[in-house]
Amino acid sequence: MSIIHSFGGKARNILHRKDNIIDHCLGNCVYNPRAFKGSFFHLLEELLIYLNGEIMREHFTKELNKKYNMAKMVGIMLGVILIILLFVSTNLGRADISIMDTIRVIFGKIIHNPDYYMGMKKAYVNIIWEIRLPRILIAIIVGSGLAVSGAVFQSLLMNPLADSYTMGVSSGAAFGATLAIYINLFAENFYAPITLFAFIGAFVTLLLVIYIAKVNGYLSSSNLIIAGIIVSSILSAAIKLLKNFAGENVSAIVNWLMGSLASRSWSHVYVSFPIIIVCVLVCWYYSQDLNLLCLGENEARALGVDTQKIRRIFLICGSLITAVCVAVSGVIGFIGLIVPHILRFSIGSDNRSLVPLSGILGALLLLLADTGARSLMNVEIPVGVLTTLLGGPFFIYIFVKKNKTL
Amino acid sequence: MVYKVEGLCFSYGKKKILEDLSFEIKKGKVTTIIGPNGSGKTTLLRTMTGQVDQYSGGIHFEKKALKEYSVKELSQKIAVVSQNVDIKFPFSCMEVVSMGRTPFRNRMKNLTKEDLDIVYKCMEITETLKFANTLITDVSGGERQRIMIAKALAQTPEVLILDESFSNIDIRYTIKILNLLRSMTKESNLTVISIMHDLNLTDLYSDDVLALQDGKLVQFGDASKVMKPNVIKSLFGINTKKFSEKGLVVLPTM
Repeated sequence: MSIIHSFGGKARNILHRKDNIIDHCLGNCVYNPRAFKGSFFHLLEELLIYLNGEIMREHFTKELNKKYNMAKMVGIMLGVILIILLFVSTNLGRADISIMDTIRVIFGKIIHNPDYYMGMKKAYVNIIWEIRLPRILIAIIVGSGLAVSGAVFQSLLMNPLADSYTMGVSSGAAFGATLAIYINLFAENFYAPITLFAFIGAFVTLLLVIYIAKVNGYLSSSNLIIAGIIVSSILSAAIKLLKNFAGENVSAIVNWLMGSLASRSWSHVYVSFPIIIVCVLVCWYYSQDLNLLCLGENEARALGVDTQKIRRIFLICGSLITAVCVAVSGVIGFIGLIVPHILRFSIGSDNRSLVPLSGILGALLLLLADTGARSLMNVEIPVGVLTTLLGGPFFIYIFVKKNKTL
Repeated sequence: MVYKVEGLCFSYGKKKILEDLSFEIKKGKVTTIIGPNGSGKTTLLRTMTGQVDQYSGGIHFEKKALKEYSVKELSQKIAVVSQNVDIKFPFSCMEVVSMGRTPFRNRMKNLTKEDLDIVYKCMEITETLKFANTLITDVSGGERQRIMIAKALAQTPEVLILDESFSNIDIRYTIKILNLLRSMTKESNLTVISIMHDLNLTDLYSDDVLALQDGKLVQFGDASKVMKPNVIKSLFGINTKKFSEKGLVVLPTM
């Protein structure tokens, strides 16, 4: 502690003596048999020690609160940036619409007052309200969902490399969606809804992984990872098989698997928002227990966490979020891995801040990536490809910079 | 009397880990469990902390059966320092110690002034204050164990359970912490139950010693009765010498 050093050599001497006094007070005669004499100088010394202790205590309290306050500040800042980006990205695109018009359309639509955008072209209103805005909102909710589920899975499985892919949930959703696309390609008079199939795929996979990992009714984190990886590999092979069967129509599946937010409508928003928001709030509510789970199952139990129940809550919430994300946007990699790590490096590992901040930063990054993906080049880049292309090297950079420890 | 264990049996699959153990643990005493590797020491502690509940026989904790307590209730009375705690995420040591206060807090609430005072005090007496802002992933194994002991003390427990918690701590701090725990048993009636491999320290610091071998209770009682060369010889097959009433010395011959 810097305070001790600032006192100089003499204080250090006193502090050193302090050990002896504590030892003595604790009746520690085996280690330090020196007796304590109640002279005037000793009393003076004790007073100094007491004052010094008060200063250190103050410093200590401040230090703990500082982290929490910093997290709050970062959260507010990121939130403001996110809102600004929301308007800016709504304004960006092929059609040239001014920022004031954009704001007028959004407010007019929200308060159901068409007067705000009376004089504008109908096509422009539609571009903003029916095309750009749903897509942006999906980017926000999917980004935050992926990041929060990543943070949750990492702490839950005590593995810094875990995310929804490790659990096989993403592969399950991808398989469900692929199956739906495949059915739609070849079935004559039956339409399989992709979102629903992806969702069922994710959930069945989760149940299967839990069933495989369970030993005597207990779930261990390493078992979950092993089961997740095995199931995930099987499903990947199954997806390849379906792609193979699809023949020349394979592009429909490939496009979906690449992960894209193009042409998402309000119906996607209505499906994803409530589920993801509720799950994120549940994760936030239990985030203190998630901190304790980082110490391991036994420690968490000893600190009063009903680990089986809490673990189940987090598994279900995390998987539900992933299922919805994959169902509406395809496979978007790296957000779930990279966002929690960036935050751990900068604001620490306390999940009470990590969970909500992951939500905001994830939303921000995916919105940024998607805005880039649709406006950087003439051809739209699938955002899943972009996040991995940029996120991967960035992750390597941090990894190397942190001396290869996560 | 804190614990009353009667006819405790536990098996893992077909293998019997604990066989018909009966003993009582007194309040405000230091009880040490000794025994060779694989004799069931850790399993015994895990049954006593409620982490394992598929045992037969009875464990009474304070006034009622252990199984009748909720996880939360137990955490307000019993603190555990586990054998190997591997933390993968960069929490600061201060944060880890303050996790010890969770049994007494509501979710989402910040630490109160009282909580902070306890956390500070526990780090002070275990001499871990200098690591307060260091990341738990950056400290050495012994330092991490001291942090975990500070965390357990921050739980303000009635019973402290240590599972080889000194295995990486150097002799100076081991003695300091043992002295500290001894004084806490006297002053605040703390009950300490620990597993130790150092027989000299076991002899010096324990009131009662429980010797386990192959899941069976070999000897239980006052340290001076159990820590005898012939008992140790039958447990570990090593030679020991008693110097005075307190003080056992292990001679490195087989």
